[in-house]
Amino acid sequence: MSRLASKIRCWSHVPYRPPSPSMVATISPQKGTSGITKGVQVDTGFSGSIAIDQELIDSLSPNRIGEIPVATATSTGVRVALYLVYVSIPEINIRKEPFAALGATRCLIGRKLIDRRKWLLDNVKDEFCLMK
Amino acid sequence: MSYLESAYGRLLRKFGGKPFSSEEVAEALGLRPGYVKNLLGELKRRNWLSSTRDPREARRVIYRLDLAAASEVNTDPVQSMLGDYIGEYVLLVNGRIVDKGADVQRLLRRALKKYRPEEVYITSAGRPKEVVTVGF
Repeated sequence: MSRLASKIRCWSHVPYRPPSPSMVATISPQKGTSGITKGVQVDTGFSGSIAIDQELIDSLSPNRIGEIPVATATSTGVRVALYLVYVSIPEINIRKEPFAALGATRCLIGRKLIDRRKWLLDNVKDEFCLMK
Repeated sequence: MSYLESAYGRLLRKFGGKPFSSEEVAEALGLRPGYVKNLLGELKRRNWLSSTRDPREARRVIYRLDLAAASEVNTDPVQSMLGDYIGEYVLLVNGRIVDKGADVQRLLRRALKKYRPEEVYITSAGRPKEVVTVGF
């Protein structure tokens, strides 16, 4: 028996080489303030929720709220700073929710933010889709 | 037990997860400033200590014990102070552990219900059981 799933929302890949799956997110340092809206790459190799790059840290000056060890492709126990940010992604019902974002070399959305959902990497249309 | 493990245990007992200056270490442990400078440098090289510039006085350095290093420093003082928390993410407020959990985001949300963001510090005690993996 085949199972069909329909796409509920798709985002175009960000134009890296090769193009990468992405979602549009608004990230702000405090709940009541406007933030920065940008296409953030979805990285299924990242098991956390969200990572922000130095440019965003410099622009938003979020509160630094800790430091944890993470495992990278080549090392374990790499210490990474945590920053308090409020994230909105209305299409998946995330509205100004607080997250402890990792300080990283790139902005990333990880698996934890899209868990308990089916998703599709449509590399024919260069889209990233969430499924019903 | 090496002298560095012993120093980590003494600093943990004295400061817990609170930030401290080299002068406070010299006073608390009764050590000469030159020795303290070397000791803190050695602890930092091992990643058992983090340091940041004091935002109020740029020339001053503020240190904080890295509780994640507790897995490497498996001494009695460390076990007695952190044993119940090893492998967990912990919430520190004023240097004291006030909550723990396996999930950083849930820990943060609980923290923000009770504390101001400036009071919150999240880290892990020892190596976390659910370590975050990053592909880069």
